[in-house]
Amino acid sequence: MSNERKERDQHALVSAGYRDLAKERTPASLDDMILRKARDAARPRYGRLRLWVRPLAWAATVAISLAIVLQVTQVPDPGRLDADVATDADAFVPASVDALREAEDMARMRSGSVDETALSVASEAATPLEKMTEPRYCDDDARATAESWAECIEQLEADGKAVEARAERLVFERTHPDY
Amino acid sequence: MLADLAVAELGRTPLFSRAELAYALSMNPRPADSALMLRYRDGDVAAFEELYGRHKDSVYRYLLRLSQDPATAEDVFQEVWSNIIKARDNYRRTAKFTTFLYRVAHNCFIDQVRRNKRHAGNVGLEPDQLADAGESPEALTEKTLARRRMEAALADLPEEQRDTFLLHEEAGLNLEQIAAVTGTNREASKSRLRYAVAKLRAAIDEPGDKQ
Repeated sequence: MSNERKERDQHALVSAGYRDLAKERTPASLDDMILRKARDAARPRYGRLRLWVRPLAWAATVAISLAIVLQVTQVPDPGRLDADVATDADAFVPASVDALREAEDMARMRSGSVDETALSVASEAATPLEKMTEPRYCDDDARATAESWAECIEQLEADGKAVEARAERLVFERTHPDY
Repeated sequence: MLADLAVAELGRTPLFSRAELAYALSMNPRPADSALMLRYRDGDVAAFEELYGRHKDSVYRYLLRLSQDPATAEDVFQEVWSNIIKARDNYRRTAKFTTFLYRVAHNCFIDQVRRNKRHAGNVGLEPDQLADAGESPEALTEKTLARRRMEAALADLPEEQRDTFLLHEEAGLNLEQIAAVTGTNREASKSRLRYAVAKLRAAIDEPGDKQ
């Protein structure tokens, strides 16, 4: 009998002896404890919360990215910004004139000194849109030079035509900003 | 292969067609341990129960014989399965599940030994209670004595040899797998197993020396 065979037989004998000996079983209390642990561990840790955490994170990421892209694309070009400001200033003049006139008229009506001429001029100026946007209380001759235009405005003020004078001054200041 | 055998058996009419047999074979009633572990990782508690049922007794006996103390064995047993439960999220089918399980058991036992020396020399096993009923008094006595001799011889083995022998007997691991569990090489495992078997055989053959 070869050594290998002898060893195998020896091993089989010992194995059988051990099998005969080792018949213990795990105590039931241990089984219960382990299986309870396994069940507890398998339960979802965040329950329903976990279901919407991932979509929410994705939605938040997309929203923030969009906001950043919009922010970057909407930064105005400096040249265009100047043009926009100028346009706004032009639009502001007649509106301001109108508001000023109305306020002055109201004040005068309250004080009893209604200037009929001013009202008629104002109403004439208010009706056509072109006139509203381009008030002209000094004629072209007066507007020919800065000095003559300034004199005209002073004359309007002297005549008590404060609203007209102010409107004309706004146009004057825009035309001659360095005067 | 089985299908071929079934169909070609002595030229008789087969009981099942090849397709039926192939289908029956594909319906494997016993999923692999690692498949059960992966199912448990995905929340299938029944898979864990099946896996636990397959291995619990052998792991328990391994720890019981290794520690030679039921209380220690129970403590380590709990720790082993708790670690398996905790490890489910990171479990990958890289090695045989049994190797993985017994590596955890081995390491838990080593940790326990380092923490607590109470297992040393404390033999709390009572093999006499395990005797089968209905045997003649002579046979019962002989069996009891044989068990005692075996138990004593196992307890006398050096820890490495006992560990190797138990991994072979209880877990059914081969030498490579035992080497992987114990952190040694194949030759060392082979040598330990051979020494363990030789000593146990000697103990069985010469009862007078151990009694």
